Amino acid sequence: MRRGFTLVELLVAVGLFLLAITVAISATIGANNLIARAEARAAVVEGARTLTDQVRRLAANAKPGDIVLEGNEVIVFRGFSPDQAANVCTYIGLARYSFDEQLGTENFEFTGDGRDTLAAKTYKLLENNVCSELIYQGRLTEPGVEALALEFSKIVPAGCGNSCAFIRYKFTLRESGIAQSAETERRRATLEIISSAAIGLEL
Amino acid sequence: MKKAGFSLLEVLFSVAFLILVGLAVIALNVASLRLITSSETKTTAYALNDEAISYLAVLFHTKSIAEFETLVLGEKDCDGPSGCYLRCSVTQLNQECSLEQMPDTVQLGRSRLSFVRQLRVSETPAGSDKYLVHTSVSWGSGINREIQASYFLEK
Repeated sequence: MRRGFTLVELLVAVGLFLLAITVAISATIGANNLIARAEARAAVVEGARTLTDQVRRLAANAKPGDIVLEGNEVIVFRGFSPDQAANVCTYIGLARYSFDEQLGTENFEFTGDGRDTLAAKTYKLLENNVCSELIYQGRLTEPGVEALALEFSKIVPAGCGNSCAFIRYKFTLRESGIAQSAETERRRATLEIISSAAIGLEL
Repeated sequence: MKKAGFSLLEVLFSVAFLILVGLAVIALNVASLRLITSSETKTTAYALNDEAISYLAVLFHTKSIAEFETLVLGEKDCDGPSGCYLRCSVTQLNQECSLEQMPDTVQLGRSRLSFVRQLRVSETPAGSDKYLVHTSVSWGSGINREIQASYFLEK
């Protein structure tokens, strides 16, 4: 006698199949979310490392008098650049980003409102100590990262004279985007860093 | 009568397999998040460690050897068994840092971790006017909650 499935067997089989599919889909969505979160947090950490490395490298090769603060949020290093094989001015600070669609170039401005990107701009340093003619500009943080705050302070300890100084700086980076709830806001990757670099001393 | 349907063993095996897959995904998530959190913490710790190294280097270069020894090795006891600790304001950037004999904690951002910066300074070799500085930044107890660095100070 030919025998098929009973209704109960069929329902159980379909139920188990749906359960397995649900688990598989949840796992896939969860893994994708995890990858996105991991990438965002890694980008924030990478941005922090890029800024600290850049400041440390420029400070180590500069003289205290060649480093000037423009407000609290922009620092200017004047000195010889091995990359350019010339004397240059390097500005590092909180910048406003814009994209020139006609030229296809990214632009960064260190003044005005809406500054939420860490950027560096390099100019030629002329003989009269004037910074002129832009050579390079670029972001220090990836597009998915926004800078909430950046503050520099230059301290010249007693006894340093013109030979050394101490830069202290503090910044906060955050994964960019619009938080849709308090929970997503809480989980958004944020990193606050405070550090210092000795100027004029090879460490 | 012909026996039909899954045996108990088959059902248990299938359910166990499903649970195993679920647990594996959860374990993967937890491990990845722990790795990223550790990376964030270490980035903060390295930045704080840079501050300790820079501060001591500036101190060394702005003082004579005798003044440096009196302050760092004498008054602050940085060559003692528990070393000395760096204190810097995290809100007032223009304030100078100082060396202390008691641990000073630093808390940054939303992190609940408290970072402590410890320095140990010793003249190496003795009488050479060269100093070996050993710095550590810790955020708890145990070797996995600490970064360390050593460097030489010489004029």
